[in-house]
Amino acid sequence: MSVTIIKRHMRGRKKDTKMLPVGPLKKGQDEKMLVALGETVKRLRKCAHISQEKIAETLILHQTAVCRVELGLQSLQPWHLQKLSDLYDVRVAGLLTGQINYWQVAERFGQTPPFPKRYLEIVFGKVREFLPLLKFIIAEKGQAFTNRMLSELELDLHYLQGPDQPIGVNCNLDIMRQSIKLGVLSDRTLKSLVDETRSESAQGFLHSLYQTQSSPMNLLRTLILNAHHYESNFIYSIEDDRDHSGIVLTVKPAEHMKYVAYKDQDLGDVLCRYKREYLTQFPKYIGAKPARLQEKECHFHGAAKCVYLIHVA
Amino acid sequence: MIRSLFSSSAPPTTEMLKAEIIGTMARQEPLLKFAYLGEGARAWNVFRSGEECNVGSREVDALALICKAFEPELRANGAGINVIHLGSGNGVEIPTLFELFHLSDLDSYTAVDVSHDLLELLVHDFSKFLNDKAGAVSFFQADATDPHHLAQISQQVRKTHPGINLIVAAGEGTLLSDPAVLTNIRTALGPSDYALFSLDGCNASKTVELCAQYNSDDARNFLTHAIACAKRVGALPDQLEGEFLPAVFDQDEKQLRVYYQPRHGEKILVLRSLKPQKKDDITRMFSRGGLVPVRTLMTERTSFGIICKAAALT
Repeated sequence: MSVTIIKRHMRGRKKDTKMLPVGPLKKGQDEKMLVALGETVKRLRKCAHISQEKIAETLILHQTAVCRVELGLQSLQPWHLQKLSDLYDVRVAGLLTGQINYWQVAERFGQTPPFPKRYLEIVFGKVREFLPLLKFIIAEKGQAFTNRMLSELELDLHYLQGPDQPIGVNCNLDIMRQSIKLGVLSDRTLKSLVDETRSESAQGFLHSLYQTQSSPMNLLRTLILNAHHYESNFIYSIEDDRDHSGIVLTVKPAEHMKYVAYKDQDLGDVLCRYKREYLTQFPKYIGAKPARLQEKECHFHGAAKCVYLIHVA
Repeated sequence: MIRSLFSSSAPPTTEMLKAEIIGTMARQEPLLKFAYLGEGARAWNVFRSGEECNVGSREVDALALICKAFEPELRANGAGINVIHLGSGNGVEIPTLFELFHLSDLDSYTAVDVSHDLLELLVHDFSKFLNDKAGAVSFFQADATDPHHLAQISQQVRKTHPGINLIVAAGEGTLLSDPAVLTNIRTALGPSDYALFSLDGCNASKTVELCAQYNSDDARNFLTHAIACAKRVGALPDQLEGEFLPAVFDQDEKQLRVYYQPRHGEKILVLRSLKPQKKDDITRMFSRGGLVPVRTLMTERTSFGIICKAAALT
């Protein structure tokens, strides 16, 4: 029952004023969901530096009940979720999926976002940029490995679920460095990583636009014309649209990249290799054959920008 | 700048938004654009899609007339058209625009809106339509009041798609009431580019009826989102109480204005909309921003269709 109501909220369509049962829970999924919700409620509270007492007051519950909710032992009624949504200015669906912009919550309450100081600087990135990489690591190595890897960077996976959450550029680069160091990211695995990017969760609101493209060339053009939605560190532009089968694409670093060390021994030219693979495989979004990509200049090998000639079948 | 998704711009933070709202109030500029963010976007979508909503219904007549008169000229040299749709909102005008201009895969379409949430709704509803009808489609979350955004978009579109750039603002009286926006449009226009506007005007004897539309519960419910946004980011106190004052019409500036009056403190301008009464009003207002109307049409219902070029820089 509780799961049914929670799922309704996740869809964010139907209003339901029925109570979430606080009685015996089904083993398995119900419990997991409540634990996840409880952890989200607790993280939000910590992020905002609010006491359990204050939450209890807001939800008109006893403090013990809030404590039980945070431990995943007690459910919440829909109107409680709405109250929390109003308090933190997050969507109810976000409370249930964990996709919360904690940065925004912390700022709303005058607190520092829950990230190490070095990721609070040069804030030109978004979590969306490395979500596919995190998903890939989880798929390849499991949750525990990913948690350990992130903890070395003083990061918590749970705070990296909101795709549109801002984050310092160095966070993305450090996760990449760590992935290379631990052998998760290599030439061999780049292709599988890129496969993760062709999903709605990675592409966000333009997913339907990509999906409904009829030709791979139009798809690539659309990607390049709209790259600014996802890529904040490099600027994409079509330098020459030769004919219907080829594009000359340039990729150059954005102004703020002057202040970021992204060309070092650890990273090498992985950013470049990733982009090449990403562009090559992008036509697979609509089931087309991969593009053919010819590199004319490479920023990671001394040029001011990368220049690619891209052809599709 | 509210938030730009340009490659070189950082995502917004609450602090940035707060600073911008405070600045907007200090300059006595309207808070309307902040109403389209977050929940406000969804409220606008419901309001705008509602059967009883007559916002923009009269402008469509003017838009149709001006398109019909102007399209042969625009198509004369056979170049494609790059429509840069300013204030695209949830995309409700897209089918009309495509039909009126007979847009095809020779042409490109660029949606520009201050609200990312509205762009999301647009993409959700019109992806297939746009992919089928236009040669290239792009989306920019940008603020027309920013001195650089429009020029950058125009330049980007010009670089990536050959043809004539046509900046279209249909029924954007609120946007065009700001002389800075007109200047920004002027800056974004190249020598062979055009700007096309449709505007709902107001007959001098009907200002009372016009104001009454903006005093409706539906209109005020939507405008409340601007105040709510300011409270959410801390630009206004959470506990602030107040009410909307009846809309007023400024005969000199041909503008309708809606203010919010807090219980304590100065009134806050929430909405300002340009409502010209005759063609001369348009020439006067637009020339301030460096735009030269090359053709202006006025319908019987006092709505206007206007084609502009950029004034030569002296």
